[in-house]
Amino acid sequence: MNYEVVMGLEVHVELATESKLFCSCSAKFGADANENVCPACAGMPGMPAVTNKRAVELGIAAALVTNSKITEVMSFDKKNYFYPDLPTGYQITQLYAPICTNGSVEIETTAGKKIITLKQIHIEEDAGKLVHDHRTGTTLVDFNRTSVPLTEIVSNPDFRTADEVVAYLEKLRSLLSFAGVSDCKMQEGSMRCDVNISVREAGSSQLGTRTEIKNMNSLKAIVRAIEYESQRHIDALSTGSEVLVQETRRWDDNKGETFSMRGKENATDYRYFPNPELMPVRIDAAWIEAVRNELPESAADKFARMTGEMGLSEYDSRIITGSKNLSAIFDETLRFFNRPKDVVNWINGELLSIAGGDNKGSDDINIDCERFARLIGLVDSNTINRTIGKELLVKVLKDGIDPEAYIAEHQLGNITDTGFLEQLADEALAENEPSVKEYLEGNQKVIGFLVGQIMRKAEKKADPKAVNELVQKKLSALH
Amino acid sequence: MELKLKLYLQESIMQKGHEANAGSTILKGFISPFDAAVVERSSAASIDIAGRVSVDEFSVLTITDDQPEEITPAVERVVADLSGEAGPATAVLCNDLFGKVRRQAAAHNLYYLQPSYGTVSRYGLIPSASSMDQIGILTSNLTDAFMLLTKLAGKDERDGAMYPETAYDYGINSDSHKDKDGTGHTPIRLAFPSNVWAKKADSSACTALFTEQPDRFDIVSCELKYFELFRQVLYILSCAEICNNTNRYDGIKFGYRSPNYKSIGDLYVNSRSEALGLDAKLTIIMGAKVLAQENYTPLYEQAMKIRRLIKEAVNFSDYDVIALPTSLSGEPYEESALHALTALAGLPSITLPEGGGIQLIANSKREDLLYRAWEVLKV
Repeated sequence: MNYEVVMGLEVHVELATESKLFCSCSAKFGADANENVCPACAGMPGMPAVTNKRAVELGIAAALVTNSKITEVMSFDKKNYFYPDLPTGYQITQLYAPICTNGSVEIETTAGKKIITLKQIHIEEDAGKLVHDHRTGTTLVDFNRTSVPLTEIVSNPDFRTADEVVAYLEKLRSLLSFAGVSDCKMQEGSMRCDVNISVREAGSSQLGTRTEIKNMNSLKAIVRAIEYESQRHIDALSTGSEVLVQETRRWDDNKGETFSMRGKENATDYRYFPNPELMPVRIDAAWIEAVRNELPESAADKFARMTGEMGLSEYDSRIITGSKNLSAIFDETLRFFNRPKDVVNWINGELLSIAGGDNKGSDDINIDCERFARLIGLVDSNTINRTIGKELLVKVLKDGIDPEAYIAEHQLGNITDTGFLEQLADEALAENEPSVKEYLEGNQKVIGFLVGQIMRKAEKKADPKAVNELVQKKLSALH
Repeated sequence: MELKLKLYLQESIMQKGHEANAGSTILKGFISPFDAAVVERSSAASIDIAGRVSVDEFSVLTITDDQPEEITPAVERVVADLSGEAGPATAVLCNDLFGKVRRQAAAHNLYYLQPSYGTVSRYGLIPSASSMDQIGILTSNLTDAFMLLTKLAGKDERDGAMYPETAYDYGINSDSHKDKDGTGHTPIRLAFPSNVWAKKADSSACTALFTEQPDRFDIVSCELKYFELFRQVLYILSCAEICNNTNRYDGIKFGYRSPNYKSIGDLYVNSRSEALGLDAKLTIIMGAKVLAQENYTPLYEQAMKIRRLIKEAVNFSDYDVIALPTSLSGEPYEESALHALTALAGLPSITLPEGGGIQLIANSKREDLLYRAWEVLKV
């Protein structure tokens, strides 16, 4: 029998606001435990919630880039449950009037293009983090994440393959990161994913029993979990080895299998009700237009501009537009050195290989673009040669050096004294008579060797092209 | 103008460095880390806080006590100050959710000023029912209470449910209100809902207050629609909100934690079981019940709909002010109906002992009408 896997996704994305959703604490990642906490987000009484307007604007931006229908008057609801990482005992979320509904995202896989439809996007607050100390058997709570704004993007059950899921997550990441909605860093937990999965006989219009795999934050894990879970469903259906129940499961990446969460957690009644502390938020056409006008360029538009008016290759443009961070570095560097082809070559050639050597991805590079641009300019103007340029790029990236100052201090500039270069060339020719002889016998290849000898004498501080010309000139004079 | 007042706070209003327990053992030892907005504004108006008075646990309705109702500490405080040496008037800032303080105020010759919902910041008020919580003023001098309110009211960015106005003056400083005989004003149209007053044995003392001054008040007939549903709606919605707002007292971060626990579940259940009082527990259980999935639509949502109908049925184009008694039977749950309209519709009111106890309710942000009525009545 043929089976069809049916999946829907719930993707949590952290909104890129400066402050939390209902108080003014910093929402930044990576602070020390309980550094970004105030009485409000620690759940103390007497601090009414106040909606962060920026979070709503980022929600509107998310709605716009997913072609969603924006709710005229959105409101927040309260979801009640007890857990030590939730200091108020309720999560503020949206159930009855989420910020937008009925969106769509186009994806592309090897099987072609497909539209994934979205049920809704809603805004909610994150919970804190429990830290278990197994030595002492104690559990500590870190409230830094408490009340950090998230959006949850809920798709319809439109997915049939893991490939589609991956393509969708990558597309979402591109749409949302370019719109400035979120940095979408899975490894930092700013993008997480729940997969709802069921299996049915191919051709059936009925959905099978659904299980939900919660809280995954790497594409690899998601693909493996989908493969495992769909196989578990197919085995259950085809052999009757187990009875599938609707439940929430977790993925154990070490064992490579999903396991059922406690029954209790599946049966919770969250007692949702409209949040009486917060006034509904009216989102009028003028506000939507204002957000639309401030939307940064999308990856697709940037790709079109790079391959079009900038005349760059599709290959190079795809690398740059594959990462919001690289795109930002590209744009910022262009502001100071407006030669797209050169900048792309430096980013895709040198910068990425240096970062790759340090195990850093495109999203983790952090460089002073003004200094980067000046460095490119220095190589372009032959003030230093490319080899030294690459070495200096490492220092700009890691130590933030000022290129001109560093060159002056370490005397790395190209030798501009042509008399001195000629003297070095004469010395090299004199020291390598066998090579010169070979050249005269018709072997052109020795030119490279001779250039290398001169560069070595110049401690690499010469323009290889100029040295090459000089050698050619000297040798042809010997004929 | 400088205002001299002895100002007290109910234990549900936070004052930096002082214990704010909202009348509950579960918050025993909880020291406010900051000042409530009303404390900040009082001190900006050079009014010191004279002290704190205890309060019913989370302002819940007392229904389990068969004993005759005791005088509430807020009323007791003002009465005690009145019997002492002559001095400035006393005022207590209260969150009088079910009208107990207002009912007792009228019975003890005191006054109560309830401002419009969304005009006084609840920053620093320990929440009970967020959609109804409102800081009001119990006092021996209603004119001073209006003065105090001008200093307390106005938008605070830290409370997400407020009107945009940054200040209110209720006509106190306007010249036209200084002519005490009321000339230059059309009479205030005063509605006595017949279906409510019919329940009162003798209302002549109340109506006489106004009928004696026909050029200041026009008595208008009206019915208060859905009055028989007021207390159920108030009870369903407030229980749900109180239940939710008290989730935070879980024994984890602050307040009481039971020493008897082996698991996190025990910690929650034992801390709350040991430290919450019977009325609070009943309220929380009722609240959890009405929000449960199977009850949400027939109870909670239905109550929300009726709340909207109640608001819409109050038609301030036909009258300016509604007059209601402050007391009927004396039984707290039944009496709460009389004070439900201000809570459910967010309306301002004044409660007076005159005429055996009367409350005047105006449209939202029309405290000026209440002030005018008071100016006429007090002469």
